[in-house]
Amino acid sequence: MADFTESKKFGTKVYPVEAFSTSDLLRRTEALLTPEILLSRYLKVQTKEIRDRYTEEELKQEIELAINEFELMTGLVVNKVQDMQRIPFDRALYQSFVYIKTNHGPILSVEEIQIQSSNGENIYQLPATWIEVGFAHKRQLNLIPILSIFGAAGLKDGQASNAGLIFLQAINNFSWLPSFFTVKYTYGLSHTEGQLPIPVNQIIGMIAAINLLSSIQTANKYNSTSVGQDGLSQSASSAGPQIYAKRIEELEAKKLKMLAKLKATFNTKYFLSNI
Amino acid sequence: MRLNAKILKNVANINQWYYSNQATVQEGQANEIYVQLVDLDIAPGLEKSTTLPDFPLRYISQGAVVALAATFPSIDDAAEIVVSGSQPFAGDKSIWKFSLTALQLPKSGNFKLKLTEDGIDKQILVKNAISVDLLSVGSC
Repeated sequence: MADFTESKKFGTKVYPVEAFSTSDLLRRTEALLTPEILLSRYLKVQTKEIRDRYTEEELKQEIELAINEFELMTGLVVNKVQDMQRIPFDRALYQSFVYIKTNHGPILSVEEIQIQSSNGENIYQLPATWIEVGFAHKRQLNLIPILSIFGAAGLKDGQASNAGLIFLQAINNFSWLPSFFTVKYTYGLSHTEGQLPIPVNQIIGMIAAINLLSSIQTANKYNSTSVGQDGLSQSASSAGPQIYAKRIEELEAKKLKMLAKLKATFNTKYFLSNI
Repeated sequence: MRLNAKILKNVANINQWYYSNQATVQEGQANEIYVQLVDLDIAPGLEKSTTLPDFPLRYISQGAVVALAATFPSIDDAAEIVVSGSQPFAGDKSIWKFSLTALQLPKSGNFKLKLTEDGIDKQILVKNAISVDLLSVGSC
């Protein structure tokens, strides 16, 4: 677990993106999906069939699987995660106010940015006041020194400040240095743990519903059945094991649209180089 | 033995209560959470799943000194809540009650139980068992 006593935030919400203040006249967030809500929203017609085959704990497990699938597909996380990431020194980016692009996002807060040696020794810890977090929802951080430009003022001494001078001098001679900065930041889809944007719960629900429908439709084995005796006969036909194919297709299409929109909201596609 | 806990709701006495998937906690007020300790490896009735049965056998500790503590996790050390449980009914010691004050608001999701029986700890993870109704729902 993590310590958030020294944490830099911008003050806006994750969802709606960049919102600073909202009323509670409309609900946009809710707690994690429960089996009852999953069945009520997506599987109302199939509730009996599902309850006949699945225990409540198994339905919870299906939701858990769907959340993990969602996280894997989007690279987003449902609950807060704190990352510690090594960022290389890149002269071009350094001159752009130390442009830092983290691997994960949206960033909720930055706990520290340090210059660390390769053995993890803290050379300097950069002051939180320098960290620009206005584009944190797009995984972008910058350092804007409001004190003297990258002078000693404002820096917090590390464990080996004197020896560390070489480290700082080294940046004059290199255009690129691996693992120069170490950023500790927290990311996730909500500042409030356990609460999610409703569209995220919708996608998780659709993933779980697709998996459940796909599983239960296999029980409908026969496309047609008929019985006859003494000249009387009766027959019935259905889509057989494809009985929920159309519903699955609809949910799949909607899920893909929402996933694309969600990824576009929290990611930026561009290429970074150190030419 | 796979110890776990089932969430109970509308608990009136040892003969009147209902199973629930989640304990619903309302922000801004004191809340009570009831659980029944169970052993997932023993399911006396017909079950759809032996791995995750709906109605496993209740577990009553035979220890002389027994305690149950619930931890409601958070990534933030300062926001983690630990509450000691009590056994509200002498007639059914499998039922435990956790009282949360209005200021103790857990997060929706899993919570952990630590059962201590005569100095020996047993850890339990209860999955997706808390659902918190917040008053602020316009953004997150």
